[in-house]
Amino acid sequence: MATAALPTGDDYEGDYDFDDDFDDNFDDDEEDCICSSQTIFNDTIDYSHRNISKLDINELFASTKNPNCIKNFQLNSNMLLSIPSEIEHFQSLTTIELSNNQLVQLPSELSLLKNLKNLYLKNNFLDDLALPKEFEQLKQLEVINLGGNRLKQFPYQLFQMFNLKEIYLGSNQITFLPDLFHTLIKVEVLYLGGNQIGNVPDSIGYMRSLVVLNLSGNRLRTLPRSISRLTRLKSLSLHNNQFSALPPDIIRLDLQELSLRNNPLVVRFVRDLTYDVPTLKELTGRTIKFHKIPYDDRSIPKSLVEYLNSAKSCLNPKCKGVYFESYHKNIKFVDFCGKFYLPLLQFLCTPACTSAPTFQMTSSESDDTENIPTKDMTNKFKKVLLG
Amino acid sequence: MTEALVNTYTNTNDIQLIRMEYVDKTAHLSTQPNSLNELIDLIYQAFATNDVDIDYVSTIMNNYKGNMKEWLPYMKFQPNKYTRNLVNGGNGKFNLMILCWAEGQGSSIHDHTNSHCFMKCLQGSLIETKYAWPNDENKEEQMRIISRTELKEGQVTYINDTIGLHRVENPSHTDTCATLHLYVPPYSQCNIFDERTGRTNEAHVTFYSKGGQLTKNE
Repeated sequence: MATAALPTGDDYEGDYDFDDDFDDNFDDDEEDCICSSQTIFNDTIDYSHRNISKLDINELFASTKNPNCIKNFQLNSNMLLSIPSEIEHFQSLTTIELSNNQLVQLPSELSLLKNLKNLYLKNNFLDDLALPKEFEQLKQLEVINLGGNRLKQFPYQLFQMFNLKEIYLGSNQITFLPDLFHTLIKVEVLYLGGNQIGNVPDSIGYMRSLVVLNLSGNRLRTLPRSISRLTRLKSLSLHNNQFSALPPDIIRLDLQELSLRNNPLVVRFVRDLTYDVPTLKELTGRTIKFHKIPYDDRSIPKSLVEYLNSAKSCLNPKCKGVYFESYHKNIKFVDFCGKFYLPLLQFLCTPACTSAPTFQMTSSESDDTENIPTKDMTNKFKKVLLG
Repeated sequence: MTEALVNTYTNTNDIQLIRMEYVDKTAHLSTQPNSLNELIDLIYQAFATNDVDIDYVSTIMNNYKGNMKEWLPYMKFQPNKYTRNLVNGGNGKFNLMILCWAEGQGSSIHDHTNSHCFMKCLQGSLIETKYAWPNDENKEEQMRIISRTELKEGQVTYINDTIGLHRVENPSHTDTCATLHLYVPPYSQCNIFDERTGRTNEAHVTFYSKGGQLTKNE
C-alpha cells in the first residue's frame, strides 16, 4: 500500500500544497471515482525515495481500487530505468514525478494520458531519441521539466504542445535552437541555462506570454532584435555567457531582473571595431533614401526597389542616415536604470557618426529611428536588479 | 524509562531551567539545537545582552541539523528571483530567515551594513564569492575576488563588512537551494556593487514572506 510521504528538498518545485498528500484510506465500493463525495480521498501514489529499480505494474494496480482515481504519481528519487507501458491505464493522471531516476527511455503510451499536465523528468539519462515522437500528442501538457538529461537538441515535440506554460531544459548539451518558437505562445517560463547554445533564433520574439527567460551558462554573444517584442518579460538571465555588449533593444523591455555577471562586457570605450568600406551601390542607396528621392519598380528594377526598402536606420538619434550592408559597430555606454553603465552595441552608418550626426536633416518629418534611451525610459528601470 | 529520562536531564545542560533563569553566559547553553524552535531559543539566550559570542552562534548554526518539515512553511520558490522568508524577527536583535534560490538564481554583490551574517546551506549547494571593497570610490575598476567557495548542505559561512563583500548564487540549473541566514543586528538596507566598475548603490531589502505568510511587497 502506498503511503503518502513528505517531499524532500530535491523534488521541490515551488510552493507545496500540503493538501495533496494523504494516507491511503479506502472505504468506498464505487466503480467510478467520485472523489468529491469523500472527505478524505487518495489521488496520489507515492513510491518516491524507495530505491526501486523496476516498477511492478501489478503492484501499482493492486494499490488502488480504481486506476482512474489516481491523479498524481510520485516516483522520484529511485533507480528506475524505465516505466511500464501499462501506465496508460491511469487515465486521470495529471502529474507524473519521475525526477532523479535512471530513465533512458520512455514508453510512447505516456502520450495517451490525455489529462497529463505536469511531467517532471529532471536528472535522468534521457537523450534525444528517448522522447517518443508521439509525445507531441500531449496537447494539454503545461509543465515539462527535462533538466539534467543528455539532450543535444531542443525536443521538437515541444513545439506541438500548444498549451505549454513552463519548459525546463537546464543542464543538457543543447547547442542549437531551431527557429520554431512561434507556436509556444502560452509559455511563461523558458529555462535553457547550462547548455552550449550559441545563438537565439528570431522566433523567440513570438513568445508573447514569456515572463522568465533563462539563458545563463551558454555561449551567447548576441540576442536577436525580436527580443524587444517580449512585452511581458520580467526576468532575463544572461549571466555566464560571451556577451561583450548588449543589443540596445534590451532597453525597450520592462524588466525587473537582469543578470549579467561573468560576461566579457566591455568596460572601457573600444575603438577597434572594423568598418567595411561601402560599395558604390550602397552609397547611391544611402543618398536616395536620405534625400527621399522617389522610386518605384517602373523607374528602376524590382530588385533595386527591394534593396532600397531594406535600408536600416542609423542608431544615432540625431542622425537621419541609413545603411544597407556596410555599418559601423559602435559601443555606447548607457546609464542603465541610473545605476550602472552598460555597453550597448549600436549599428551606425559611418564611424564618424558616434556623437555628431553624419547626416543632418532639417525637415520636420521624423523617421522611425531607434533611440538611445532617454531619461524617461531609464527611469522605468529603477527597480531592475542587476548582478 | 523514567530513569533514562532523568539521566538525560542531568547529563546534558537543562535548557528549560536556564531559560527560566535567563543566564547570559553561553557556556551554560546547549550547543546542540535539535529543532528550529530550539535554535531560535538558544539565539535569544545568546543575545540576552548586547554582546555577541560569534563562536557560540557559529557552533549552534553548524550543529543544527533540522529537517524539511520544519522549513516547509518558509520554502517559497519563485521563478524570477530568490525569496527572503522571515522565520523570526528576534525582537529587533536579530533576524533569522530562509532564502530560497531556484535554479540559477543569485544575488548582487552586497555588504552587510555593519551586521554579522551567518549563512547555513539547508538544501542543495551554493557558491559564495567574496570580494574586496573597492579601493577608490572615485575610480572605476574591476572588483577583486578574494575567494570563491562552495557551500554544501549543512555547512555554515560567516561574513561581516570587515571581511569583505560577497555574492551568493545557486550554481545548479536543475536543483533548488535553500539557506538559513542569521543577521545580528537586522538591517533593511544595504549597498550593492557593480562588479565591473565598483560603483555602488543603495538597496532596500524586503521579505517575500514573514512567519510563512506572504507579504505585500512594494
